[in-house]
Amino acid sequence: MADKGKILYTPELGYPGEYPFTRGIHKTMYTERLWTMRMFTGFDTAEATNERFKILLQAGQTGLSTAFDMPTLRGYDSDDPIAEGNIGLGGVAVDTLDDLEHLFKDIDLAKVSTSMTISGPAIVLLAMYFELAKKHGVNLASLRGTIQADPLKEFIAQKEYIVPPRASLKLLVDMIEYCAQYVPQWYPVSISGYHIREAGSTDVQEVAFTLADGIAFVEACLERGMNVDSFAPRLSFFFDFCNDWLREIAKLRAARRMWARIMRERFNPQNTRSLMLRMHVQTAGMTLTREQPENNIARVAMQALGAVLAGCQSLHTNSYDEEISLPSEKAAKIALRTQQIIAYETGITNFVDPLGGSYALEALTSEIEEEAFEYIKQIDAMGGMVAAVEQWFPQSEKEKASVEFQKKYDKGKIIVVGQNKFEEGEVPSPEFTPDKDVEEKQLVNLARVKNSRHSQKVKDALERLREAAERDENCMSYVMIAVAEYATEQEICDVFRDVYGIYHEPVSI
Amino acid sequence: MQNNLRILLCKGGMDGHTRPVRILARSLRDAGFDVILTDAYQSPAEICAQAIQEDPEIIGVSIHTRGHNRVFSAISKTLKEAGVFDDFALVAGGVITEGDYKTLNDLGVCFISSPGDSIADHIIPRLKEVGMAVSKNRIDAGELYSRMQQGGDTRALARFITLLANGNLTARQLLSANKIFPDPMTVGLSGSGGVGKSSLIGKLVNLLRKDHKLGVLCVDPCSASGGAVLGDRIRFQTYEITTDPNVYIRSLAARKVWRGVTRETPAIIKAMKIAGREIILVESVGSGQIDVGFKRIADTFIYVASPDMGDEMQMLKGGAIETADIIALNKADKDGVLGTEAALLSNFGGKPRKDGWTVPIIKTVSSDEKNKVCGIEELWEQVERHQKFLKEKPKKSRRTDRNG
Repeated sequence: MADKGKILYTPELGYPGEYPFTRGIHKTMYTERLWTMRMFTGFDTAEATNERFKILLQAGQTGLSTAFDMPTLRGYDSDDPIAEGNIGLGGVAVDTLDDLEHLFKDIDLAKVSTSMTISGPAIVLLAMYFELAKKHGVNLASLRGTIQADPLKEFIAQKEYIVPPRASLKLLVDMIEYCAQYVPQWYPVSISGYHIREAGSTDVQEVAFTLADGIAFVEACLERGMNVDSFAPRLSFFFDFCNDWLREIAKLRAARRMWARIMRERFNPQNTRSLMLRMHVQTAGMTLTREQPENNIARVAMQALGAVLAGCQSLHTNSYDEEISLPSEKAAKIALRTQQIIAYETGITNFVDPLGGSYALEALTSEIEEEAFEYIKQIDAMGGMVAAVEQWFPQSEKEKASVEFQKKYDKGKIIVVGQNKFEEGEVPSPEFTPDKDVEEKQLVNLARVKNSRHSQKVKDALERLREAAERDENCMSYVMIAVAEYATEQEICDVFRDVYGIYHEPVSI
Repeated sequence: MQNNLRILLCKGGMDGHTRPVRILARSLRDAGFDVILTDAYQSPAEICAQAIQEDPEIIGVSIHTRGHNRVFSAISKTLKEAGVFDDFALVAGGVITEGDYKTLNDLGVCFISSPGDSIADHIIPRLKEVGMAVSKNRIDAGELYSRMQQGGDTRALARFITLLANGNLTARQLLSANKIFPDPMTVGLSGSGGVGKSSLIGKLVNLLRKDHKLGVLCVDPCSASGGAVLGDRIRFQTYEITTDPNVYIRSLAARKVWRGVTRETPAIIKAMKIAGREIILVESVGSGQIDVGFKRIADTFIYVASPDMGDEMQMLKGGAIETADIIALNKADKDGVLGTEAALLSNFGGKPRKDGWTVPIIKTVSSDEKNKVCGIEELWEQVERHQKFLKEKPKKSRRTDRNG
């Protein structure tokens, strides 16, 4: 088969595992090693999520992915009044290192790679995970995992920011710098397009804005004095897989080719691995329907297949009930089995980039690449992505696209099976029910931790963190000292709020 | 219906998924609604405080976190405790399953929309229905007026302002008949878009609210459809500001822009004074031509500029900036600030005016970054200086339009 692959060689396509990596970042792709099957999980208390982690590991998932609740994502403790009614609702509540200890109980951090989806307070959770690893006797030098941490997409789409853009970027570079030196297998950022797309952007915008964010992060690290090869191999990306199947596959290939070009032309690394775009993909939440939810199984299957054919390194598949609740165990398992069926039954893993050379696919790949580069040119002219975000450019472009989409939907030009066509039946009740006592349990536990920790050591650690932040030092090790003393997430975030200010969105409509 | 239906539209609780409300706000505007859009992460306390201040017919809360039972339960409770539960139509949207409909209905929610509902065919007609049902229950102008006069009754002030904004004659007459009333100074703020006017107002509000009862009026123009998105207060309010009884913020849609505000604005300012507001800030309609008449609305007119003005400065000559009492040069941490300051001084300030006042240029930074914020106290000192200057002049030279 390898010889027959030569028919398809063009400089545009290249070979798999070679610049510009259109056809995949590895020579052998899934023929040697499958993508990581990583189910995004989190609800109620750390104990409940820990159980689900184990169930899914037993069921064959090959990596962990953690979903936190809104207070945690926004840097608030469970006992802050603002958290009331939101604790454990959309993910697991984590206030201190103690929660993380419960979250990963009986899980060997040396053997599993963990992804944590959190950005505003990312540095706190990263510090907690590293301290937990140390407690478990795991060498940081071999610890594997990812933290999302991408601050710019928060201002563009997800809105889980805390401090203003430039300060957020500083904290990200702190994490990247620390990991480059002490935790070299860790991915300290997952540069994300998923949220931008789900917030209504086009596929071209998803690629363009994500890569532009990536450029900004690389530049910030270089400004810090880091060598590009010391961190670029550990930059990872996160994309959506929506409808318009061929375009979605083309989008991911275009992203790979574009990033390779961008890295080579702008930053000239010596290590080939600095040119590779490693991606995690999630099937599109916004395509799921509450009506006839079993249809979502078919949707997710097709989106997952597309993501695999596009050459992702890691994949999360949505559960069929997620339009009405958090995933039930049954639904989460079906989503995982979907990936396993693709991996073990379809046979496509015997080929590397089997769709390569398809006239439609290659045309779409080039088209998306061209249009996305137009956006990047515009963003360059504005002074880069941070400036573009401050000028509200990606936000307004994304919003225009979301209004256009709604117009088309209202005119009946977008068909959603079961929702505006082929409608029948009632919307079922959710199978998953949250734990009614989660708030009480979490508050009791938090109070216990606060009472049994050494409060003076916590105060001192927070004070030293504040001083480091004010001196513009790398905050990572100071945060680690604080979390080791069981400082809470909010206590640490409040230091950042105080030193850097609280971001306020400057524009309405 | 002569007057636009008003809807307070936001994400309830810890919810940042703003895509649906931002789309809905536009559609509602295009259908003739005035939409007070307060966007993400609105807690029940903030929602209720805003509802009482803004007096909309409809409170629309969208929740995608499945926290709707808690949020609406808290909203209902707070509205009931304030005695205003029956004044609003409560509507909900987001990820709400049919199993929860009864709970929400029992809490007073009269309409629940689902993802996939047609905005034009389903949501808008239903909102019009429930909004019209509420607006029929408006109470008597006289009763509102006497409650308002006693001070401290935010709800009465809010509803009275609604009457004034809708051109209610009884309300106008009650107001005109009152010749003796407290007459604190008003401050008007205007300036082009992008200068950071809103964040500057936010910093002023934070400075003053500890010791003063503030009234803040934000005016936005209507679109061609006749509806409006009123998105000024969200640009500067915080939880502390929104829930502080010392701060009353009201958004106004200008069907026809008059003197940078509306024809009813002077009467509304007078109503705020009668209700006991001690300092009144008025923000004119945003960018575009800033009316030279705006200076007649307030006692002290602050024009907000920024260093990226550049060539624009020539275009401003002969415009509203010439009538400003104070010029705030905001974003003063940006490049070019000293050049802009010099240009502003030579064109618009520096020398004493005919009335004896010399327009100062105050450099301010109203950024989110705490250690960068500056000039706010200096700015307010100038306002107080100008107000003292006015007090020392004969009464007839105070502007006559301030009190309608």
